[in-house]
Amino acid sequence: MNLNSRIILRDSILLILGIILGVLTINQYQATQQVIALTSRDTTVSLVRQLHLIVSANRDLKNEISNLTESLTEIQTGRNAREVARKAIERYRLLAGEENIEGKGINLSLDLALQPIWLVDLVNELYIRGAEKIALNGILLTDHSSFALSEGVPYLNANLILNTPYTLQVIGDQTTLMQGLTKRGGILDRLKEQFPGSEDKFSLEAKDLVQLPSKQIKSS
Amino acid sequence: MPNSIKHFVLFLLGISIAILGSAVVAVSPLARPTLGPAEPYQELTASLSELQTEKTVLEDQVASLRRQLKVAETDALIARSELQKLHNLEEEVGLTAKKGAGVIIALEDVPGGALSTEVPEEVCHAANLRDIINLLRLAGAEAISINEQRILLSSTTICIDNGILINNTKSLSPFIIKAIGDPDTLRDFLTTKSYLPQIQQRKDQGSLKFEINTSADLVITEFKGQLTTKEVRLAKTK
Repeated sequence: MNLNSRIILRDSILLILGIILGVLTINQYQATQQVIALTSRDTTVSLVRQLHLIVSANRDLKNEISNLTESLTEIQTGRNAREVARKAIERYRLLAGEENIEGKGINLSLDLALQPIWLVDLVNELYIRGAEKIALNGILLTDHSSFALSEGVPYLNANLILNTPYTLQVIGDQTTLMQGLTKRGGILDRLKEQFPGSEDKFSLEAKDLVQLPSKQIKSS
Repeated sequence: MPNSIKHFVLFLLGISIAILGSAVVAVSPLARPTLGPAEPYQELTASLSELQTEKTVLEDQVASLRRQLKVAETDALIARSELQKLHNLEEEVGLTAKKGAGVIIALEDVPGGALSTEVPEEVCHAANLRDIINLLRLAGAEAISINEQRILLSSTTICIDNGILINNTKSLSPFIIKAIGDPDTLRDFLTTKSYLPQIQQRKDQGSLKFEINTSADLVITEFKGQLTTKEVRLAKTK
């Protein structure tokens, strides 16, 4: 091999080496971005998902308008005022957590020492995915429920110690709950990413009957 | 040209080719067949905007009907005790506006402020808002709203491209959070640094405005959305 050939060969090797390093740099950057996205508490939802959420919300609002109009007509015509009031009271007692309730839903169990922020995020995600009522470790969550960490111990409602495994019993649309929770990049994936080696610490199950206590009663 | 410089230039050239190649692949129609054109994006954005407008109209209708129903119930021949029970429950589930003392919090990005290295560049406050709501509940808040959206347990905060969906309604910074409760207790919890570490850190770095003011006379709007009870029912066995 003459001198010129050697120089060309050496230069080519350098060029290829540069290309390889450049590709590796780009891959590393992309991988880092993916890790940031996965470990972040929030992922930005797509426009299509936003559309789906708002269409669904508007459909529910139209149903509510229809129900309210019907109730109003019944009361104004004096036909069934007491029955309308009784039904409304019953519904609001369910919503306020003043009754033991039941329905289709899911059970989600996490044998992980999660910080309260993750419980806050989980509850948010469950409602996004169609939850109607949620209990954590047998305690019904209400509009006043809170999570806290004090000296390393997680608390619910400031005075109930939360022990692992955390069991979330959820009444709501089974299909959307199961699909939403198990989807790629969803909250369970983010938790698994956050807690490496925790794949077997999660248990998710659709249930035909989930029974939740009223807000005053601790069932377990 | 000395050989060492020539080699260095070749090496840099190699890296440049790789980066350029990756960039070309990333933006090429072959790589992203569905994301290239701006037209579908604009159509989707326009549809979203229309749906949001429709949602606001529907929510106002719901709120108006609930008010009419309340008046009709009062006028109807319903026992006073039943009526009181009904109105108490409506308040309990967030269907009536609430008045009282409390705090007003302003949460807003500071343009040009230094971002924490722990916070992704595309800042989204959805998690921050959830943490504040949780802390307010811990501090005993009786009612909470964000940008005039009443917050219930079932309220959701979802990160979107340039804002947050709160109760599925698009909301933009600044986020004005109102909470009714003991103003001093609420303020003490909010200003305790260990409770909201990320927010406090960003505030200290000057990249986030987090202001708390107390008020003796707050009004928090009623929940205007749908309270879903499709699956939930009274337990058969008590």
